[in-house]
Amino acid sequence: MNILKVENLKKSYHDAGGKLEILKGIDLEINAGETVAITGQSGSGKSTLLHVLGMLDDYDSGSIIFNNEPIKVSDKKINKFRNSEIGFVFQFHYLLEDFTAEENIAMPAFIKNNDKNASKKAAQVLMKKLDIINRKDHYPNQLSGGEQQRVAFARAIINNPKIVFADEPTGNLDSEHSNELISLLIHLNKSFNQTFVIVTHNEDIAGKMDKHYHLENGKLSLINH
Amino acid sequence: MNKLVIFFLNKFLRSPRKEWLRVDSIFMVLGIIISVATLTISLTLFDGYTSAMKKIYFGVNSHIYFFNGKDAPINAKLQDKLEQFLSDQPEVYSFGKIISNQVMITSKGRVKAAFLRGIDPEVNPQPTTFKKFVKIGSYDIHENNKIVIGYKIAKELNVGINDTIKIISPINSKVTAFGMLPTSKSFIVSGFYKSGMHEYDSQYAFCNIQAASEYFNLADNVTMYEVKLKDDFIEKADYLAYVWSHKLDYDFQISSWLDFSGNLFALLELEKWVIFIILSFLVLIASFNVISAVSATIIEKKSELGIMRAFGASNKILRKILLVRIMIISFISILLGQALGYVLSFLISKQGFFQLKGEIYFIDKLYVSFQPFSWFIILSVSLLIVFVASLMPLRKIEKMQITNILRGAGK
Repeated sequence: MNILKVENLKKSYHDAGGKLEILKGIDLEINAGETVAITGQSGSGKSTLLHVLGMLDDYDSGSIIFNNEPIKVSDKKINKFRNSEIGFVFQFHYLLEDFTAEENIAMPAFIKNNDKNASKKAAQVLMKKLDIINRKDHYPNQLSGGEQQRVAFARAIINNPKIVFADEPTGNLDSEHSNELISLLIHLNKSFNQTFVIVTHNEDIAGKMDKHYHLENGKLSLINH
Repeated sequence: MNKLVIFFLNKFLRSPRKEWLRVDSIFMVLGIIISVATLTISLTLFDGYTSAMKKIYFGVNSHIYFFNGKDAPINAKLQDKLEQFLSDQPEVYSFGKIISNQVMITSKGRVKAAFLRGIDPEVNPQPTTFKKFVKIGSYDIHENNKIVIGYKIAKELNVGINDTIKIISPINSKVTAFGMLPTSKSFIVSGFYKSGMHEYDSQYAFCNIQAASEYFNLADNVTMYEVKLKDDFIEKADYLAYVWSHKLDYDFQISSWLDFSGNLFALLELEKWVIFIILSFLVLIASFNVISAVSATIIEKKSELGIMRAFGASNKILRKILLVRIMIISFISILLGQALGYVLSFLISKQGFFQLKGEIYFIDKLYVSFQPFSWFIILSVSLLIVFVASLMPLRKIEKMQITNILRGAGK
């Protein structure tokens, strides 16, 4: 059963040089429990595609159907959608620097249920599973790159989203930490049947995913299935 | 309040990086403190001036005065009628009869125009509290030859306690071969009073009503009655005068303190609020620092705001998080500004370097008065100005594109 269906998605930007078409008609279907990789050259529009799919940016035309319902950034329920239906992992982690690892992970849950203690408990459960519980009171600048990325993953899945988007999650990690992170991603996929869509430059990582798409000239093509 | 907002506020206040000690925050806080302190000083001194004026004014004056409606002294029959009436009025605190006329006071070859006021020192409680203004000598006018004069009169005539002064008046002048001879009477000065009000200290002399009656040859007649009202009815003096006039068959011309000095106090009140409005502009100027501090915070917290929005925090909640921070800091700053204002006002009132000119400002000293209403108005208006100033930059949050923030912050 597909949870995300994209049809003829187009996105362009306007700058001094005129209209710049980034996505020129994307068609994509993602099923529950799948891991999907999107590769492409720098500037090909991978991050733009991910941001549009994750409802962080609007699109010009086409449609995005999530769980059989069309969705747009301008929808009134968009905040609830971002909070509960999807999770996001960014290349630069973007952890809140004044908050501990536990508080960072708990934040989406706190936004959702306005209950600090329940959110912290949920965060602790995830931290134990991801083996970072001993770092719960540490601030982001006291964590290693790998630990920061684990915190970012935990934060993305704390509200049990139907799909997690990860933008170059290994972009700032060395090969050892990259492998560790991909193992974690596959572990989360197997353990929680968590759907992942990741954007990456790394063909090896892409090869480990269930589906591998390549973005070129604003069009998406399936490499393997 | 939303628990998330409280959580962020708590984090902000306890942040190890002490964000509230940033330069823009410090300038914002200083701006608010200084402007609010200035506003507080002006209002406190103005309130002090007004309440001192009222205190002194009601120390030497009563609230309602009764005169004969036919431009003549009040005779014994009318006195009985009036005293019986006033004894039955629940609004009346005390009343007393007065004989008052213009006279000349002479001593050691010097002459001074003044008002001689004969009062009954046995009335208890007295309708005026001028007794407490007697700072040198004593309030002794029980004997017919004793007099209490304003300290400025004493200064001009160069007289001391127990000196003899002579009162001269053209009323009841004797016709002699040399022309009209004004009546005169000698008094021994028993005390000087200092009310602080120039007009009184330099013009009024008080003696026993019996002595005044004999001197002006008024027999049982008196010039007027003075009535002190209970505190709750002071502001209603005008209305009471109107009602009583009717109840007393218009036998008396009744004037309240509002007829004599109502305009002065109304003007003082008006001036106070004009000054308040003008000095509120200082807070408005200080609020520019609030705008820049909030703008700087938004720019600095751009990625944090972007991430929060990516995880589903609404613009409303993000605005609230920043607004509560600013309002808490501002609230504390305003309270500090008010405290500083009160301390400085107190010090200003205690200094001897600068004093008021009594001839111009009626009183010759600066006074401080803490009025809860003024305190509340300064707090409310300052908070409102800061609140409106904060809302302007906070509107930027809605216009921020998450993707632009994330791209910019990552670089």
